[in-house]
Amino acid sequence: MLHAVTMVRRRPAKPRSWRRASVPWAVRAVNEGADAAHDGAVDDARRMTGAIAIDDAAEAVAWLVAIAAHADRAAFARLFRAYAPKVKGHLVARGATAGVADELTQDVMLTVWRKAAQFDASKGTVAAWLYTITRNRLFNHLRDARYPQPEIEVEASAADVASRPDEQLASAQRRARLGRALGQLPPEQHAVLRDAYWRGQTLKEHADEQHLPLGTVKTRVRLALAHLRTILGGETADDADVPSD
Amino acid sequence: MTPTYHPTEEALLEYAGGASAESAALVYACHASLCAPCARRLTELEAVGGALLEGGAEEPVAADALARALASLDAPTAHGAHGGARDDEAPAAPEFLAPYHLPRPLARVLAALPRAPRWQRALPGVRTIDLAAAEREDETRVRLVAFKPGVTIPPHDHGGTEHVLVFTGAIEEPGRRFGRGDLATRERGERHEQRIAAGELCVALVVNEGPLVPLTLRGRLLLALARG
Repeated sequence: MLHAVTMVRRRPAKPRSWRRASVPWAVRAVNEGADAAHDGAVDDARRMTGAIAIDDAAEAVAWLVAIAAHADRAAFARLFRAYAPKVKGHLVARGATAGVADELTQDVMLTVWRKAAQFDASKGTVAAWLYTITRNRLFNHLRDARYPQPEIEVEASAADVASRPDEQLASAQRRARLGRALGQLPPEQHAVLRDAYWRGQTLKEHADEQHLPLGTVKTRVRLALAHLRTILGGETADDADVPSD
Repeated sequence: MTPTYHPTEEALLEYAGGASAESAALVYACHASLCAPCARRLTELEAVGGALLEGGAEEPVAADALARALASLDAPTAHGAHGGARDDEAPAAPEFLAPYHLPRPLARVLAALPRAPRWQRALPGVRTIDLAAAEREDETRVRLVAFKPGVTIPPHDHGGTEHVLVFTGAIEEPGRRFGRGDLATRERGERHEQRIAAGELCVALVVNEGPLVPLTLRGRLLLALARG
């Protein structure tokens, strides 16, 4: 619609141009022909995601609450020791060099310190929050632009919710269940998710690389996500009115 | 009210993975700001990312990394000091756009423009604000568009993917009506003709990843007019 207005007259101060392609993650080139290493990574990821303790997750929430409530430096240090190597590992997997990964990891952890009050345990896990901060920081580094994020107008105070023990427990249980569910996915479904999250691949790119029809990849995604939702159970029952396309 | 037309599951997965182009990411972020079920779906998808980060390979950080981080905790930053839940509060959209209740991710983009935004006449009954420079045919066009009620958009095809996210008023096509929060995504090769519903100005975010392919003489004339 409305392509007829694509040629707008030039003005002196123009907005910057937005690149069309998705993010040029350096890792795409690096991983060419590294199928053997790939399979090892799958095994590692599956083995490791299966072994998440609920206690750890509740503890991570407690650290964030302590940081938000009284700028608790000891809690920050614990969070840093537990998560900075994971954040850096993720950045390196996405193609960042060690030096860049170190700098971005610092940025991510400092963002955690500053924004701890915004963490909402009722909506997600600590790891998920760190994941989004890391993803956004990397996008910002590569594209010199902010990754647009949903901002819903009315939100409960995050700290209030996160400090409720039942919410902390629910968050921890959710995390443990999700980790197990990921470990149980068939390898080909796990591979799509891994390429989406660890390599920033589009489904088209995954399909091309695996020599698969795009439709097959889409089906795998839907099956994988349906399975994960079943495991998470009940929480999305009111989403039934959302069509799948 | 929950919108009727949503991004696909695959589109949301690509967004969650960080693979979306900035323009598509803006569309999905704006939709999810107006659509609680999609916001929840994104939260779930980001939880998957979190679980993978949690269980993935670790890289040892530099020996002095923690010391450095602790040393910089109290340093003032461009984003404000600790506790700044407000440090990245979204700027309000300009006053003249207030009636359209634009979602915050879009207000941020408007605030970052080099010049104060204002409507530019594009076609009879159609005004636009460019959000991204698009000087070459293959560049993505990102625009806020205001259509007068009753305007007809001639049949056309797409050179690439098009996203239209409606904020006020409605766009009608045979069998469908896109109102506030509804997302119409069209791939290349999907021809359609649309009409702006009567009664209310229709303001929408429009992203085009390819050039126009008008299918009628009138459409071609309008294109020539707009390019003049």
